[in-house]
Amino acid sequence: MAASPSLLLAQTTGVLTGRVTDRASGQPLNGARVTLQGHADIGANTDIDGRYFVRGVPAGSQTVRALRIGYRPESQTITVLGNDTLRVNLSLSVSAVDLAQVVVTGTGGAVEKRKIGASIGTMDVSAQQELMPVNNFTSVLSGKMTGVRSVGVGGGVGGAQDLRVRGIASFSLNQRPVIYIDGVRVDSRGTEWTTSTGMAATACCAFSGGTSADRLSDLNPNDIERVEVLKGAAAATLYGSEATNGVIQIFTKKGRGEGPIQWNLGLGSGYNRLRENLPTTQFPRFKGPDGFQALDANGLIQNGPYNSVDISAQGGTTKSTFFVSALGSKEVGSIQPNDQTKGSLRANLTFAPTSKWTVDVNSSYTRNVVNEVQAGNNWTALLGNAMNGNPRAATAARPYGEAWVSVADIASMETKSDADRWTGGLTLAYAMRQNFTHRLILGTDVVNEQKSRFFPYAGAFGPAGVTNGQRNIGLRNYRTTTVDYLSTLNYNLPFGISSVLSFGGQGFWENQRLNIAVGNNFPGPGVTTVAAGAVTNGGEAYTETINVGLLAQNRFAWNDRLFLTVGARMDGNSAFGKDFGFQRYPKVDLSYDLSKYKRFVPDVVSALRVRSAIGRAGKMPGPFDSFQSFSASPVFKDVPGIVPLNPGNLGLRPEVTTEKEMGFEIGLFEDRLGIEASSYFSVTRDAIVNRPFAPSQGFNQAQRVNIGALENRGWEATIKYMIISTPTLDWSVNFNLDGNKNKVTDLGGVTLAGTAVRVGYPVQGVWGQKPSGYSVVATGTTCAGQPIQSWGCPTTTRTPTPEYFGTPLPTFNGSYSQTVRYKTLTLYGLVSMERGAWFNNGDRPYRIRQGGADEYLKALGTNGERTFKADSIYQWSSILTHFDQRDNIRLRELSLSWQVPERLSKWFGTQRTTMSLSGQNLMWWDGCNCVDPNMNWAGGDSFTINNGFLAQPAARQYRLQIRTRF
Amino acid sequence: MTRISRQAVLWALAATSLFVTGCAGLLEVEDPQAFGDADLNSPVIIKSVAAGAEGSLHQAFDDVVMVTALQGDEIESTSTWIDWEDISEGRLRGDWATVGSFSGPLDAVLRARYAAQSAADRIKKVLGADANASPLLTQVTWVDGFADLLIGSSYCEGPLTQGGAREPNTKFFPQAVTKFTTALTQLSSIPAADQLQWRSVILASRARANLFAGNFDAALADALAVPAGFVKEAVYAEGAANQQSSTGNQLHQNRNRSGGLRRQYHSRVLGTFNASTYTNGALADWFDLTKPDPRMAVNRKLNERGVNNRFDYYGITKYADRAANQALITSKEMALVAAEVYMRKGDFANMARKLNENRTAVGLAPIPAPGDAAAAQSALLNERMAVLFVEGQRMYDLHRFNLVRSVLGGDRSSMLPLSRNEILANPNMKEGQATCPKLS
Repeated sequence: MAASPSLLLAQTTGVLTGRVTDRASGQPLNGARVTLQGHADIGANTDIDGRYFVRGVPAGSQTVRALRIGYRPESQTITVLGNDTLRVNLSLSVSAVDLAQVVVTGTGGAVEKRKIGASIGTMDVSAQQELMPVNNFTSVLSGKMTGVRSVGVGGGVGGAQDLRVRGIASFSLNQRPVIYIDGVRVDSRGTEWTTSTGMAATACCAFSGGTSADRLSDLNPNDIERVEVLKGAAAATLYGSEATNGVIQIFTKKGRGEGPIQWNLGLGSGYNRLRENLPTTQFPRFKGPDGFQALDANGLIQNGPYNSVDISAQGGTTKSTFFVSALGSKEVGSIQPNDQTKGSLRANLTFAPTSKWTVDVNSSYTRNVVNEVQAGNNWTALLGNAMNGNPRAATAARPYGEAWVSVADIASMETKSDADRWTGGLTLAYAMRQNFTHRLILGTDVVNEQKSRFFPYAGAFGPAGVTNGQRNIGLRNYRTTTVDYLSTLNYNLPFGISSVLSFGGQGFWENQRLNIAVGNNFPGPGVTTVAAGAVTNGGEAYTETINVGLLAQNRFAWNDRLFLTVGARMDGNSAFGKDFGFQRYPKVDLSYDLSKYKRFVPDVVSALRVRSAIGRAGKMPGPFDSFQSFSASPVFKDVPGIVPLNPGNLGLRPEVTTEKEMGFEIGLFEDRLGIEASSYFSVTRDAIVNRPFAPSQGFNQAQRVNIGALENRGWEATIKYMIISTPTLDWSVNFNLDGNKNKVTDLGGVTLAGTAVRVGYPVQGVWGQKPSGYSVVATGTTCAGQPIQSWGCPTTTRTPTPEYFGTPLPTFNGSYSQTVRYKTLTLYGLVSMERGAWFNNGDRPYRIRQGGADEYLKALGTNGERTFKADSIYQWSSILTHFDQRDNIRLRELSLSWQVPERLSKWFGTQRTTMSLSGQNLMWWDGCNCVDPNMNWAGGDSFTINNGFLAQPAARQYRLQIRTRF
Repeated sequence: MTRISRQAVLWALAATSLFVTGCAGLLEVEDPQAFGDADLNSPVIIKSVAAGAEGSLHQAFDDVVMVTALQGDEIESTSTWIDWEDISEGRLRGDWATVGSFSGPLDAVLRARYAAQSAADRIKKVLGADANASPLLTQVTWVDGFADLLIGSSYCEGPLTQGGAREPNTKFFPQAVTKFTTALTQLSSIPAADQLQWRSVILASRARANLFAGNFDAALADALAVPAGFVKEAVYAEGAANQQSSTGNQLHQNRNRSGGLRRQYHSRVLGTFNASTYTNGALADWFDLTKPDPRMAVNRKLNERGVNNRFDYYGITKYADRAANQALITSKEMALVAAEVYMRKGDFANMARKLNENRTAVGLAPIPAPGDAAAAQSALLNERMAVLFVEGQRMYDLHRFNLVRSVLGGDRSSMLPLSRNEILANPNMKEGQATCPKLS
């Protein structure tokens, strides 16, 4: 084994500086990576003016290379003199393929994508934010990356989105991918936690009804430079026991080298407004018992203003750089009260005390206050009460004939999530030798969230179990600590084979404590504390998980064209049963860059790579699922009781997913047209089945046993075409297409109750009884000899057992985006499409049974009298729920941005300034017989995804943003 | 090997060593909110284990009362829930649901029975020879028997033992009698104060079990041995969800209004109602239709309909709220048990005397001795409905006297079916083998 010749280079160094620009438009490129070939540890990112500054450049002949997502890399050979500064400007051409992009997540160190056989998605968030500014991280991903689903499911401002990668890989465990920020594992909870405190069904505790503040909404999207997504087990093997659902790593912006401090100011304004498609337009036809004319719930829709200001600064010296930012925003929901006030601060510092050491310190603080809207499966759902009301019961106090609690009383409630969050990380990089480096990441994410809810004394909240007011306070203290060590050794082997060995360990310690205090029944108005209630009680829950893993990987490269990677990870985890031990996750992938064979590849093909991978990843059980336990439960008034709870399983182990993946990338016409396609097949074995004990055999909870199996089969394709790229006109189009089918293949002989998990069908398949004898009787005065008042006629009959409707997730997703730039104007649009998903449209029959809903009211007579048709609709809805398809086409994003001419910017004393007018979620077309085909009652990262009951749809968002540099 | 690769190996070895040594005990975590099995083998804790068993029975009881009242003729669904509508209309699904109102109540009773049996085992293990002198053993043995009694009078079949095969409901009553007899036998060994507390409870329970088992003389003897004024209640509280009663929550006008007095009795309600506030009324006494019977009180707001907007709503006021206790068994019921035995013996005079004990206690006129068996049966059942109004026994009365069709009409089931959770998870059961009731 021989050391690299580059080790023998001269000891003197110089400085490299310059600018990276877009070749067509001449615009500076922010976030481009400038490196020296053969010196992976030397490099810098460009700032928002495209400038870079690289110190420690070894004297002599060097090849400088600039890379950026969406552009072809550009290289230039230069000669550096010791103790001198050399200026090198580079211009990059747009590219529809990004094989040269360097990624670091799950790869055992920085490596170009073309060398990896598994699928890794990358996204330049910084550029996307310029094109289409959004204020929520999960919105950034919507429709942008194949295999990644991120849709709003309800809950108003601050509410969670459904974020998942490549379908469903578990029968019962959470499906959100694990999130890392700059190497530090972070909290990404998007569902209610107040129900996990042992107080689930008390008058409290699903504070906002199932939809909840999303911890991913704490992030400031303007801080993010790029995102890397490991889509499946084959790519995420090195993340071990929590990677089955994929891994999303967020990289925040860094500082730059020498030069004046550069400031970036963004001002945003706009509003949110729900689409006025609520099925209550018939309500004003009817009067309540007192003669009060009912109101249409569409009248509750308001403009919810949005305002934000963010500012950041980048700067540095030869030995240190910094990026600092601040954000303040307030966003009001369209159904009020509902708003989110957010402030965040970030400081990313980089020191290079010696030529061998680099120290990165990242620190961010967020205060995120969400006045949550009451929505979801909830007695006090604001829109739910108005939409599901009976107009013939309307009164001045209940103008929508509210189903359970009046809108006025709900509006008098306070439901707040107030989170303080600090995320910090320290990265130590040590280049022991040029080809032998070490990196240690220590980081922690601390979330302290207080949720509070207040029912005033005066309100009538009886159905919600509240008498004379109630106060709930919930505290969630969450902490996860990450330790991640990786060592990388580059060495050469005979026959033109180079090799990179990576080894290290990764661990995290996660704990969460939940507390709830409830004060019920106030003596009178004016008091608002828990202690003021006549009945007070509380709940608490604690969980803790520790995971430690060892990993090793070796990547072999032959003539810079054929790449083979073999690796493995071994995990121990506190959630594994005591008798289990450690879990091993192997992987191997192959990548072949065929574009190197110039003689065999036609000229029109500028890039061609084929790849395949197979790898394993796991999903750990719940923190205490393996423990046999008996619950301390106050089952008998004032007497402590103990009842059997969890039968436990000492052999419990993680669910293990093995994924096979293959695909290719091809670039045509000098990478102006790029096609990327993947096909995957994953099998999850040891899937945890909640095998119930017969009730006569005791334990309340089912036993978790690793006896199940399921599979996901899918494909993904991206087509990018840079149709025109000139200094005055750019026109590019992008298609993202993917499909996924999911199937339960084994339950270990267990027949589970319900329909969520059945062999041969998708997880959470949508099942239900179908009408077997339904017919709407539209005429006549009697039915089968019975008068109309009988309620028993006409009669709907139903199938005796539930029948299969379809899968809960789309089997096909598509999106089409287009960007057109003409001089200083840029028009961008994104249309998405979903097909194949079904859901339990529980709202629809519910509001009919309440005596409301346009479709029922329209069937009534002119004066509101009953008709057979109306009775038919009622009868049908009284014994059957409705199942509908989620298929939809949605105009998801549209923006027009204008880059203010330089002379005008200078007149204001600023540099590059852009103004953008944009809209999100603007319009959709569906046949779901619902308000929004994406709605889901249980929140963003809930396992349950097949029920839309009482969810509040996502609003349309209109934004004006001005961003300037100075 | 070069120096670099040697260094790499050393680093790898160092990292591995650190990992291995550092991980010793690192993966140990504790669940602070639950006990392990061994933790419970303590004289200090077994009291709570026994309380847990009885508390589980209380938690289950109100749910059983709720579904049997819906299945019988006391209340009907005024909710918008399909499962409630189905039970209320006597439509039993072929796939009797595993959640909600369908299987949940029986699951809870079966779990309470398991909790009682496992608690008895643990008491014997922990206390050894002293177990028989422990009132805790008496308590859990009674819970065990009462769970059987509840299953037998509500569900048409069930497992007699943990994980046992299906058995018809009638087999549960003799088993309950045996368990209560065991508890009574053990009673003599426990402290006097505890004997006083438990004797009437067990005797009254055995009286009901004997009656349903057809042991009429034994039932009469037990019933007559229970002193007047005795009541054993299921205890509820507002403080936590699992302590609240669903009868109070679902039937009270301030709560869900999911169930109200069945329509066929609306015309029998006496009371003056207005549209602005709830006013109390009551069903007329079956014997004198001009007199309200306070044992079947209702309340109403004029013109108000249930949540389903279909039927007039008459709230049940017997349980004032979610914290209201509910009678599990009482001396009033013992008078009814005695009356029924007298009726079955043809002794209508004594039957009327026992029924009148309850009637006069609430200010109603005594009834004369019925003239024939039919009149006697009618009087008995009317009185049972009034005294045991929404206490979970009416449905079984209609069933055992074969009155379901004549009272509720149609081809409806007369008892509740076995929980599908039990069927699916019980190794000795299979689906599709139900003997009763006929499922739609």
